[in-house]
Amino acid sequence: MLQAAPADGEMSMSSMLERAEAHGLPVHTFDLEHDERLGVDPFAVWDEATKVGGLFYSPANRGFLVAADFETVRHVLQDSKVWSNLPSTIVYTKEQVDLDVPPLTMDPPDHTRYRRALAPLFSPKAVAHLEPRIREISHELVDRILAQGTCDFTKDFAAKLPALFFLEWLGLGTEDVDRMFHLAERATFEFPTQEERDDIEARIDAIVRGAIRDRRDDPRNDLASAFVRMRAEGQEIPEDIVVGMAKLAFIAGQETTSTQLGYIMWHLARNPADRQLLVDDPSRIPDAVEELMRFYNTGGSSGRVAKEDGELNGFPVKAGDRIFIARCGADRKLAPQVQLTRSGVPHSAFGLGIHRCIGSHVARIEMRIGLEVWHERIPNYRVPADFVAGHRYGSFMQQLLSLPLELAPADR
Amino acid sequence: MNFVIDTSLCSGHGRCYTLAPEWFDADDIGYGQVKDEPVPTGERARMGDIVAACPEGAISIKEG
Repeated sequence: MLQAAPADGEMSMSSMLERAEAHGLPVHTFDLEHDERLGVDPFAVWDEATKVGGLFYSPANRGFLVAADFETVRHVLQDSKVWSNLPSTIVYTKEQVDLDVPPLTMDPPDHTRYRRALAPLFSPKAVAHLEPRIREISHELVDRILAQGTCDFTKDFAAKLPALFFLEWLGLGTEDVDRMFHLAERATFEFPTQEERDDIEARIDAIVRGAIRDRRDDPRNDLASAFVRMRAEGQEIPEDIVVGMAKLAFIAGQETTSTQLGYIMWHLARNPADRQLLVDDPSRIPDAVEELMRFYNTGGSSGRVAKEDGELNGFPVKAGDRIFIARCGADRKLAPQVQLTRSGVPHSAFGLGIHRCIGSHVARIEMRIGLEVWHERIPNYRVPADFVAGHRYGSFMQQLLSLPLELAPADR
Repeated sequence: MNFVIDTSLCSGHGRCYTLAPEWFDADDIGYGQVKDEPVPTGERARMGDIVAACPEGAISIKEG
């Protein structure tokens, strides 16, 4: 553990601060690792940040720029020539921790090559056949919830649907679902040392490598087999990269959809008119999902490092500058109210630019079908009057910790 | 009037062909394509919504 930043790190940090002050860039302490308000009302922290400006400097931890309005967020995420994913670190933590989850942790041209190889597996046409299985799992989860009579939505539905569906699709089976979901959670929410991060990634590597090796001799109708067949520009892909991409799928396929579903239901359980709108007309669910992803954007992996000097909103960027992309605040600033029937306000919950969430079309199907089945079977539900929401923000995103629901309350 | 997609900006979110399948198609890997159908002039408001909905800002309207 370093007690003080190395000399060059200190230089670049103070020079980021000096440049910020010299160019009139606002300075605002935005500390995702330590701000305790993120556990109580994370959205207030995001909204406060966006009010500071579209671009500001946070002296927290190692110091970093923050892109906090949609135009700035979009500009940075679309400009992969200046804003690199190398080194791939969590930019806002005190300690620099490197990640290895390709192709997210790559820049063009490597990124382009592997992204093109992956894209056909995750296109809307390629994933449409998964719908019936997702519907079946959703019904099984509701059966279980109705049988037990009580429900913590985050645990009993939001955590289960993506894990059960995705692990099966990936080809890992679901006997060990709790342990695998826990690993994905650790990879998403912990603030690890490098040693701990490497350990989490090594555990996931071992699981997915086993499936990939197995499918080389015994191909099945699953994602692991598709990963084995995958070629990049006609060439076989080195096993470590295939395993790394499967590791990213393992983490992102479970945790992201789960946390997003939790926030979507938190809104619906507190807003009876919005809930009723979806009960009365399920065809409104897809637009509602987009709007609630915008308003309760869970954050996502969002750091870049400048690989060359440039300019951002008039601020002179130097190679090595870190930037955090405050997607949640930026999206909320576009429209400060939820309106489920609108479609003309975009969001960045799936990211923007070349690293746009490749699993987004699968995630949308999971959320849509999960909500369709839930509202068909349990149209009436609400949060208990004494419920106090608790949240956490981790290395990649924020999460609602629990969501107890009263099902079909008699007084409605 | 019709739409134009800037293919250097499109990254395959799929909002266009989801919101207006009569005007947009998905290619094999899920990137948007404009169908070869002129858009009726009375649809201006809806066209604006679709332009705004594209998170990448990749869609514009071509007059004429």
